[in-house]
Amino acid sequence: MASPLSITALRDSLLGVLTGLLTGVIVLLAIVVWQADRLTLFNPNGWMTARDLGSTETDPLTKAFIARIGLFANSAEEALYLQAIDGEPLGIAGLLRGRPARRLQGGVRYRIVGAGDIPSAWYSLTLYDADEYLYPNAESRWAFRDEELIRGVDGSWAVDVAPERPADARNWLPAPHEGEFSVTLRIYQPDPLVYADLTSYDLPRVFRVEGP
Amino acid sequence: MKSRKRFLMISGVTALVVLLSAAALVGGYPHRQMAMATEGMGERAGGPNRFYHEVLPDASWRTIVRPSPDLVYSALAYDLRTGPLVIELPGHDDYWVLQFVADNTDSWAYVGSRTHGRAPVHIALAHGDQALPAGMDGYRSPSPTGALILRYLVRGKDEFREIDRKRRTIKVVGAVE
Repeated sequence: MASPLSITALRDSLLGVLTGLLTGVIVLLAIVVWQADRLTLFNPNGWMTARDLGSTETDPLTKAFIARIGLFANSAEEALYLQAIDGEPLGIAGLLRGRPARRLQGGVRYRIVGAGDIPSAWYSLTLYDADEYLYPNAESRWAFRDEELIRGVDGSWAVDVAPERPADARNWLPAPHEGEFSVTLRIYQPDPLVYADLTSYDLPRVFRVEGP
Repeated sequence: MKSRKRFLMISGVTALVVLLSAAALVGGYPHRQMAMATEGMGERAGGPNRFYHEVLPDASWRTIVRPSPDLVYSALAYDLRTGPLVIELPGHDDYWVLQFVADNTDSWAYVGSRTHGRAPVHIALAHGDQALPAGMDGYRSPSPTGALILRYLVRGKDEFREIDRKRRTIKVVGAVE
């Protein structure tokens, strides 16, 4: 027969396990958000990237994060990978949902404008559908390499990212009508000036031209 | 007082167990990802220490997410437990890079147009205290197994044929100790 003492003990143990589980999960969530916040860099011209991709000096949590989002990503001196974002970063709420910023939206027309070249061996803009693979289109146009861009007399360029070719587009990157998609800017063998501070380097600008 | 102590101890131990299990899962994750990736590479190449060559990515390509359509990929799962390797790569006058990845996903070395220019590259790949053959650049892997990822920039269809022919001349042989 259970004594009042053992009922108290059982209650304490159960409460202890529950409190421990809850504490553990809250601490884990806090670590994940803190880590995601630390690893995500935003460039005010409309780009998001991860710090130290591919570096050997990263801690276990960062390594796991990299293995998850970019296995075989190169380190900064070999290549930089930046993702275009729609609007401002989403803050803690975004990090908790694994969405540091809004992805590009199907049906919207975006324009990416470069004043000149990015000091590097070469760079490219590539569009991915929601499934993270190249977006099928009649033009078989999935990317622009710097040398393929049609430029103005001053060397500046603009890439229009839209479902239909805009009348004034010189460089058209076909995009989906609906759903979400992404555009990645890759910069190969960048000048160290570019990655010294990716949060302030003057990268090409991402504009939302029109759409819902 | 005794009851409060018991509660604190049990909740503390439970929280610790949750955190340690998470740490174990997270810590092992890169190794598991690499093991999966290198297993796939070995299968495609017909064994370890052999390159397999991918086609140029297009919209139907599904080997890895977020491929670059400007790059053609080749990959090799290395296994140095039976001895070091010698790798001979042809010269190339445009962008190319060979990335060395350890079994925990660390990129631990690069060879390519940035490091070697246009010249052919002869390197030895070893692990631990294995002797490196003389007369070539030696690279010591931090782990006995890992992967080599080779990327060539392709500027057009004609160039792809040329690069494809070239990369099939790459030699990977066991070094004589």
